[in-house]
Amino acid sequence: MTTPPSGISGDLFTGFELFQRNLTVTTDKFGGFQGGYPIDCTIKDGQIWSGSKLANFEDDYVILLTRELRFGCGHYYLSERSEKVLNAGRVAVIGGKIAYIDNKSGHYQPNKSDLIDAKNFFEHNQLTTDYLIVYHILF
Amino acid sequence: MNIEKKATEIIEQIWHHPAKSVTEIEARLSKEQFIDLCSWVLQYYGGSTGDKFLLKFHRSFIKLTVNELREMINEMTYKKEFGVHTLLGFYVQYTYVRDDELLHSLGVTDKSFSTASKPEALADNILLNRTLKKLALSDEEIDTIRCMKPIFEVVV
Repeated sequence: MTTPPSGISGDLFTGFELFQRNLTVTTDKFGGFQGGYPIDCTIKDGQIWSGSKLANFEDDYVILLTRELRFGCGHYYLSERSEKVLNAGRVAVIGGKIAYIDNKSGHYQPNKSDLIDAKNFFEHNQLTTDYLIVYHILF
Repeated sequence: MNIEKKATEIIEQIWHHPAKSVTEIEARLSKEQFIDLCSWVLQYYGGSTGDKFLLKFHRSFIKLTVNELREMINEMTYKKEFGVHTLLGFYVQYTYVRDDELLHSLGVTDKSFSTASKPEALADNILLNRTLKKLALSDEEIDTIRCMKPIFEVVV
C-alpha cells in the first residue's frame, strides 16, 4: 500500500550522546497498523535538501536506534513499527533548516526532556534556523 | 459502504492532494457513515493524519453531538486509546475547546484540559499554520474550527 521508508544515514550526524534515553512504543495495542509516507531528504552543507531544492515541509520525524533520521508522515510507519526509537516528534523545515520542533507522537509520546534532547541534537548538527521554535505539547 | 476502503481512499487524497476539496465526498456521506469513518481513521491512522482528516471534514465533525462522539469512540474496538488520544490532540491543537465536561462525557478520566496549551498560543504555531495552509482552509473555515463548541444534548 505504501512505500517502505528510508532516511538519512546517522554517519552524517554527531552528538547522539545528547539523547538521554530511548523511547518505547507506548502500548502493544498501538501495533499492527499505521500507514504513512516518507519524505526523501539528504543533508548537504548543513542544510536539508529534497532533491535539488532546499527542503520545505512540516511533518513527523523519527531517529531510529540505528541513528538513521527519517522524515515523513506516521511515526510508526517511519520507524517500521520499531518498539524503540532514539527520538520522535514533528518538525517544520523552512529553506533547508529546522524552524520548529515539538514532541507530538502518539506512539512514542516523548516528554519535555526528550524534546530538549532533540533541540540540542539538531542545533549541535547546525540544522536549525536562528529562530528555532521549540513547542512542548503538554496534553 | 466498505469503511476501510473509503477511509484509505480519502486519506490517500489528503496525503497526496491536500488542497483538493472534499465537499463532494462529504455530501455523499450519511452521518452514520461519517461516524464510522471518523472512528476508523482516528484509531487506525491517528496522529497528524487524523488531525488532517478532521480538519478537511470539519463541516461534518462540528455537527456531531457529544453522544455521537461517544458512539464514535465506542466503535473503536481496535486501538481505542490511540483514537481517543488523537481526538483530544485535535481539540487541543486546532480548537479553543477546553471544557472538561466534554472529557467526562466521553469517558476520559485521566486527563484535564487545564494542562493543555492555552488556546491563544495556537495562532502563532508555525507548524499548525502551515498544515492549515497546505489543506487550503480559508480564514473563515479556520475560525469556524477554532470556535467550535461541543454539542451537549439537553435532557428534559
